[in-house]
Amino acid sequence: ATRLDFSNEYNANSIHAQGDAYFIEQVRELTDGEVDITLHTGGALGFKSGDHFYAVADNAVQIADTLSGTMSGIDPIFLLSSLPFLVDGVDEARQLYEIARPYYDEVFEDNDQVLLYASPWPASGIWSREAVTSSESLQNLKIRTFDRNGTETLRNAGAAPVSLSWADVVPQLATGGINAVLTSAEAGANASFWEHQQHFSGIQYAIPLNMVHMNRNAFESLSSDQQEALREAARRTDEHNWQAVRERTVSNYGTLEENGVSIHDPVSADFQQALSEAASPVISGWQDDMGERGQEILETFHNGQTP
Amino acid sequence: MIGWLATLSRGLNRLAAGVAILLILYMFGHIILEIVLRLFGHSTFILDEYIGYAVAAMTFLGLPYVLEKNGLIRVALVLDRLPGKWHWPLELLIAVTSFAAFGWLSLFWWQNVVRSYQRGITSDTLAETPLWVPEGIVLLGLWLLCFTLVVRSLQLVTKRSRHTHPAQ
Amino acid sequence: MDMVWIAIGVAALLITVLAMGTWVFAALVIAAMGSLWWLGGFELDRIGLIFSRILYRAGNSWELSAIPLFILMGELIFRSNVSERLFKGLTPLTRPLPGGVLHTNVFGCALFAAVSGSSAATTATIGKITSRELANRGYDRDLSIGSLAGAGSLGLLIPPSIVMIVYGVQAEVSISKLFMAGVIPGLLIALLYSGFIILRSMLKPHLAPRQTGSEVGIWQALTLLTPVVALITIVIGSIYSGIATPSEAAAVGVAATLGLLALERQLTLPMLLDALKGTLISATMVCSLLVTAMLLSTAMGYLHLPRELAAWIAAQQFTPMALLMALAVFYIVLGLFLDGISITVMSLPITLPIVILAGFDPLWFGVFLVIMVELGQITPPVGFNLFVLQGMTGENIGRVAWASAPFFLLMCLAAALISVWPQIALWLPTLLAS
Ligand code: NA
Ligand code: NA
Repeated sequence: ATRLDFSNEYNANSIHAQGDAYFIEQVRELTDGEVDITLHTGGALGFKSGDHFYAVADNAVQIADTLSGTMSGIDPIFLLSSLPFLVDGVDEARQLYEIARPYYDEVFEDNDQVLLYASPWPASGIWSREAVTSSESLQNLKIRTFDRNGTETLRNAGAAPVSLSWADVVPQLATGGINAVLTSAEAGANASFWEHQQHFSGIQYAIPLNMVHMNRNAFESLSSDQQEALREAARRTDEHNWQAVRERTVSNYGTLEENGVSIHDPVSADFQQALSEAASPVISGWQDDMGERGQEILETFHNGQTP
Repeated sequence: MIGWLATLSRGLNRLAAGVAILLILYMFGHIILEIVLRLFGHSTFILDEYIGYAVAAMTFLGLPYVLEKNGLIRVALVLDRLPGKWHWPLELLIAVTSFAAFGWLSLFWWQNVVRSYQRGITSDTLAETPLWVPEGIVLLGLWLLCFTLVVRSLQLVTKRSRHTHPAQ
Repeated sequence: MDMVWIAIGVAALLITVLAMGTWVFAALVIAAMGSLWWLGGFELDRIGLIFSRILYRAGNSWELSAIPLFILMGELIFRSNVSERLFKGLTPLTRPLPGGVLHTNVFGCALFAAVSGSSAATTATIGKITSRELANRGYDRDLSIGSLAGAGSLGLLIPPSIVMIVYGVQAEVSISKLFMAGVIPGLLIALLYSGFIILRSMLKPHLAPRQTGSEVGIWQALTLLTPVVALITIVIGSIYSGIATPSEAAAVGVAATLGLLALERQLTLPMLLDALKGTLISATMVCSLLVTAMLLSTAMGYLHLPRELAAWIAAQQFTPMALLMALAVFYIVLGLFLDGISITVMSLPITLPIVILAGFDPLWFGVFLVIMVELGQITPPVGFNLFVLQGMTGENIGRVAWASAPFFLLMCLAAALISVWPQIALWLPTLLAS
């Protein structure tokens, strides 16, 4: 059997690791165990998301599950899925992914890789101590953001975004060093945010994607049946992951309620409008970086066409 | 010739060590700045990114100097029990295998730094730092380490004595 | 089992390269590369690609910055008269206690652990402050080194703690609760260590000679302690008030020390430069070891060694207590060679589900695992506290490890105690949650 190693930065229960385990199981079935993939969760091989793109290109590791935004220094297209307030809900996020998929494929192909499937995050919102349901409540709010888009958008909206490593987030919440965190209900629930935060605002900030990519030589050195099996497994996993993200969102909200967190979803149209306006310079800045490709993707998306 | 190389290596290592010390001061300064800014609701936004670069740079720029100063620990189990005349061949073996390992790694890291430079790869943060810079500093440290090991090997071969640096 | 032979192969390779006298940082790299080539059948090119990237990634770490900065704090204190005053003040206060100021190692580390999340930083800082004073006062070197090595690892158990954060994220256990759960077991270990020092000093009084001479009164003694108390208060206060994050506490510590020394007119430029030079040497030594140790972990990951050994344990259908014993052996063996964070992330996907299935509380298991990781800090051949102390004292690693052996056994005892009485760990988080 061919043995392959698969690197992933998240814990074994995370939506990404579970999707990856599903993929591995599909591959095992479809190839009768001839392709044996080992998932290394929690960054156990020593790689972080930021290392994955070239680690896979160089075949240091054959497959990796990578947070898209961490590859934005390689190509700005990887910021697409985390553009703030571009998509409203899972359906639109999937539509955007399908429109952009050929462009993603091209970047991976140009770098000796094959894009297998995507793994969406549950929508990011705002965890906070006091309810954040209006532009006023956002003023000077010390909020931890996870990427530069979030920092710019929230700064435009009047908040005081802070960048902190994830390890420092809980201690800072506990001591009141920060008052809010921009992240998914899921990520907050996994870290028991309710011990320090009683509100979650489902502002539908974005549904960021993780990309699962494979070294092309490793892929092409499989038999053509096995290659087809991997493609089929990837298609199934894509389907599975988009379904899973819907289910997770529902179950996450259930967990939050059990733990006494007030959920504000949807937020008022005024607030949503103000947030979208704060995001528009970020989106146009991205379009400038992307040139024609960005134009094409966004036009197709706004015209509601499916590829 | 070897004497001249040794002087060059020592000089370069001291220079790198000086930069590493400045980096320690920089880490201190940047963290304090971030703490003060956060009190007023501001941030540099690049604290963990730049401190990360600084730690890596400090470690690899400091290594050759600290190696030269005998500041890196070793387990001299065999060395201490061998008769004196066997010391220098063993020391040579150690220096050569260490050089081979780090030389091999620096070869591949060089290719990576070149790629980062040619493709203009940047960090995913607000700073959009060109990655070849922090990566290149680590490469520089690796090269200096290799150079130090080469000089050490040459001295061992020519002097046939365990003690290579008179200053020790 | 193939895996057993691979494990023996990796161990033999590392021990051979180390015993030859190779610098430890280089030995870790050679052993990592050698095991993938020899035991994993990897091509040399791929080995170069893997490890060059890991070398950079492991060095490029924000959390590591606490090491140079805490070491700088220790170097500054070492070069002032603060530590001398501390010991002068502590001598009359600890006189009734057999072992005298030797207890400073234990309680100094336990206190410092409340600001430092890393065991190497705790050992390096407290060791720099205490070891010279203890040697001057004629205390037994082995007892002094061993208590430092053992107590230094409390940096991981007493909050804040990097390993606990990693465990909390991987196991989806509340980090705040984990932090609380570590406090009482941490103090328990400190008490066991102190008890051991008392016992040894009573049996062999020459190990901890009674201090005579320059007598100071209780009040004067207390004033001598003020500088250190002020420093610790400022750093702990900065964390608990939310002004600084635990990762930033080291910089606050340096600032407070510089402020104190400037106030007392002890700060001079030559002294500062000297302290910085000393910091560079120690910090480079410690950081280079932490970085290169990651290469060995990566090699083990690619060889699938920890996960297959864990899977073997999972397949044995042990009773809960037998499972715990098996896991303790497993973690102690891994801890001989690997760093704590790697052990945690590599083993948890397999060990956590079986532990939960056996009916253990994941919060409790976090504390148990951290104690296992602490044990690894003081076992040769790869034990970071041993390395720090070898670098500081110049003693060889064999002697440092031997001096630490009683403290290793005491920590095993603590692990057994919390296994029999899980409430030792769980009482405080339960109390504070209600
Ligand atoms: Na600690
Ligand atoms: Na160890």
